[in-house]
Amino acid sequence: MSNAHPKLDLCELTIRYGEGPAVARNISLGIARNSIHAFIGPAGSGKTSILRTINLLSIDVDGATVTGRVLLDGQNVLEATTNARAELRRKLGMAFATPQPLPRSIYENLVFGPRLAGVRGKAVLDGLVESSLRAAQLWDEVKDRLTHSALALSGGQQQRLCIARIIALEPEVILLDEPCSGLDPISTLKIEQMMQSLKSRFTWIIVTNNTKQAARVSDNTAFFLLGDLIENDTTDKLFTAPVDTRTADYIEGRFG
Amino acid sequence: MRFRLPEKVVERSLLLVAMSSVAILLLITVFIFREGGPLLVQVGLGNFFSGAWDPQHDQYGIALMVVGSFAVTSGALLIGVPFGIACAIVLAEMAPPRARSILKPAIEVLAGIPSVVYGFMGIVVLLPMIRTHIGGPGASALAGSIILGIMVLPTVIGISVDALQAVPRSYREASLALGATQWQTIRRVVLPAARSGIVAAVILGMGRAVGETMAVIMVAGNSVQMPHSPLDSVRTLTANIALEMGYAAGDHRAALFATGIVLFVIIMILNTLANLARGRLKKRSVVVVTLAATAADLVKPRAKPEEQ
Repeated sequence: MSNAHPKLDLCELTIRYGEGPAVARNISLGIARNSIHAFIGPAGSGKTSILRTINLLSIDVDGATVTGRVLLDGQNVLEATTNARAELRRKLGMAFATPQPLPRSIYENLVFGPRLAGVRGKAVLDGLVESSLRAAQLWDEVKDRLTHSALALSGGQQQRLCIARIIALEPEVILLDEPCSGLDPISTLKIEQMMQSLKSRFTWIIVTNNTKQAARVSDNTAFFLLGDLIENDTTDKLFTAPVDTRTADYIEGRFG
Repeated sequence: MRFRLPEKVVERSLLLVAMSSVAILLLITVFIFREGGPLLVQVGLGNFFSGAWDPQHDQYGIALMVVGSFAVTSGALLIGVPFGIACAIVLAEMAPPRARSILKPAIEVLAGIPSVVYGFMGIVVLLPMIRTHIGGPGASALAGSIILGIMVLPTVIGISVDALQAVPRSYREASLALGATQWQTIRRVVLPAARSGIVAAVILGMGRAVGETMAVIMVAGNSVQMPHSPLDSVRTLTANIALEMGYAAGDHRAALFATGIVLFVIIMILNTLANLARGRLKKRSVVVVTLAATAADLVKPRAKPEEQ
């Protein structure tokens, strides 16, 4: 693993909500540039909390207390001021387990972020909409109904729309929180293909409950259990020769 | 052995008690239409909505009172709606839990203060302030608007907060994750999504302002005249009923009931609009609409003999 200059570097990250116990403890982990990194582990292992901390949603929305550092190209994300956070979230795009289209048209969903970022001009926005939808492999399905409500799309289309919406922001890292948990196998396949095809443009982190998916798409995999990082290695190594017996038990389906 | 009430009996009697509120509404409706309806027919709608109110000479035109009600209500909304919505945004979106735990009960208390106390505060504080700083006699449409603007706050805030809180959390997260600031999220995502509920809040606040009586009597001056500035005294529909009912008799009394019919219809229209806005026009509103139709029918049979 080329961890000399990781794109994203988590250092001794600890996350807790209110007075409760830490949901993630002392996590240190590097995410290589232009790779797909999978976070796996049973429910309650802290994967989603870590993902939501990387773009500060856990702090701003859930009220989490976080210690440690999240370095994006060496800059600590956690020290970002309120004003810098919006800018930062454009670099760290995120899609959620349930697709979250805004209640407006497909087109408006796509230009929402770019407009906030100051992108103007119909031609520019139109181009951005098409290129993002093409990248998310959704263009052919929706090109004739861009003005229709995004809520009318199927679940799989909505999720690809949400990813297209992120791509339109030209982020550096894309965080996917169980993006395929509610989707059929074909939609899942499309999203996996899309990730592979866009690896050269972005760095991906995918939280997944599906170990097979992690094995299929990712370059590196981190296994979490009850808030601890148990093992982090190349996907090939982790799935063929895991060091920790708990990792082996989990990927072989003996628990979780 | 202990005696147990059969389930059916309990169910039925509870239903009966619950239905009694509908029955009371129905009775009130029938009553005011029976008392006021005949006069409406007798003088005709044209005369009833004219500007001449002189009960001693059988002149029953309520136009000036409609203008008065309209003036203080719109003034109240002008003041109450911006404050109310701003407060709702703070409560639902921005305030940390501790601030919320102070704000929310404070607004509930605001709703519980008797209107006569608002009126009293108006007389003691507001009227002298207007007299010395702005001019005029003090008791005026402006004073009524300010007091009513405060009184509609709990209604506007309460329903707006509900509407804002009903906006799915996912919309906010999606917006934030796309690089919107908190304010951009509120303005571009949350407020548009809550729009229908906020419209309902404004309409119901309007209903509250139209219907308020005591506080308005105390601060608005109550002269039956066409106001030419916000500092002029006005009389509202409600004030007209409350001020004159004590000594009214015969047609005069009927005219006041007819004023009540006008208020009743206004409030009913506002409530129906509010329900429409909230997308709740289901069974409950159908009851209201039917009620209106029934009440209108009730007027006719009594009116006919008098025409002959």
